[in-house]
Amino acid sequence: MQNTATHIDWLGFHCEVPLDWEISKHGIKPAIGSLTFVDRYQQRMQLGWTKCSKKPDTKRIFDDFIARDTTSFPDAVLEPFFKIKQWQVYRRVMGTAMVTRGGFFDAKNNYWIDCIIMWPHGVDQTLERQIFESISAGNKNQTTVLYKAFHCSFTVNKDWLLTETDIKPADATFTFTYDNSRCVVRRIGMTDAWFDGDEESFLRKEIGAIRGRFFRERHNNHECTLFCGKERVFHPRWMVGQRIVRNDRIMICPSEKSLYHVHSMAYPKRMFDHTDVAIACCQGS
Amino acid sequence: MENKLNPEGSLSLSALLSAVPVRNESVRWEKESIKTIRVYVPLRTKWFMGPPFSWLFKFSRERAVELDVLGTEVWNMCDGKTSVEIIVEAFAKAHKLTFHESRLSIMEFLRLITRRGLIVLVGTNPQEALH
Repeated sequence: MQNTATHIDWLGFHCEVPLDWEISKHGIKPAIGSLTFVDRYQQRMQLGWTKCSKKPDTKRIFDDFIARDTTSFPDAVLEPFFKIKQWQVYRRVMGTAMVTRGGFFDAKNNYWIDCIIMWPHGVDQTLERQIFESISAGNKNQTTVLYKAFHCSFTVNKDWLLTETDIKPADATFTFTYDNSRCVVRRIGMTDAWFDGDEESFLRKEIGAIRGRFFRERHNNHECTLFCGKERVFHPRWMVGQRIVRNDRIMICPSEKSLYHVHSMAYPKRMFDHTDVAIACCQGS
Repeated sequence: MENKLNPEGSLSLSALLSAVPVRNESVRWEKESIKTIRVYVPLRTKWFMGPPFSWLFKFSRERAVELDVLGTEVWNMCDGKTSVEIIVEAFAKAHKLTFHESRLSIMEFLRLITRRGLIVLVGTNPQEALH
């Protein structure tokens, strides 16, 4: 699977899944959440995480899992526990359909991580092992967080927290906040079908009434159009130096046929720096 | 409310993907530009469309549906042999989309043009197709 895997990085968690598995549901809270993967026809995997202040009672967690499995699927056969790396894993067998369930406590980052993989046509033990081995909670001490999902690949400064996502076909939007400042990363695909190549006029429509200056820069081997301006409509908070500054960066990746738009509405207290978001489009993917 | 068209249940995803879009034989189409087409769907003749009203008013006998570049691309693939799954795959490959992104867009488009009478979706095996 190593050469044909999709690498997923989300909120610091990393996993590798087969190429045709895609995320269908996602959590955005670092404290608790999950990622659900589907193949073309059905759900295949669910990766969940829960922040714990101390090591949970893993025996009790697995006892609960087994009790639930026994009640919900009385015909199912539960195979004995085994280990994959740090994971404690067991399988539930119902005819040819199997479910692998595993969990472990990541003491370094204080996370309980559990993973369920569905095998509608029997277990693929090599793939099972590779998936479990690839899952990690990353290093929470890093200054940047990598996001690699939904055809996007970018790193964001750790200060900016993911608060909202809007995933539509060929249009993924990620909103990050820091205090009252906001930064939005958007990737729009299929540029060959709708984009005329005029980055500045695209930006003019987006920024509306804000006035500022446009300039061009080279980033990641792509030409970018940048904009920097201040809000125009007067607000009393201007008098205490709280005038919102808008920064925009737009970049076309011809090989991915996508447009990346990063914009921020930030207060002077925490000015957005263009290095806060680094897009790794075709190079990083 | 009971589904009268399919009382036994809805189609499964795999059945939908293996279905084949077949063009309505009575539609005609012409090139609107190099990359787009206009499809004409014949309308059912209503009682008021005949004489003597037709002597006074001109009734359109067909409805035109204009397809954009992407719509034309999918329409060209609806040849009565290619399954939805292959169309989705080809569309995803051509526009650098994931399979699911492509599937959502194609399914929505096929639903739209089915409602307008341009195509019908033919299941390969009706027994397997139903839940």
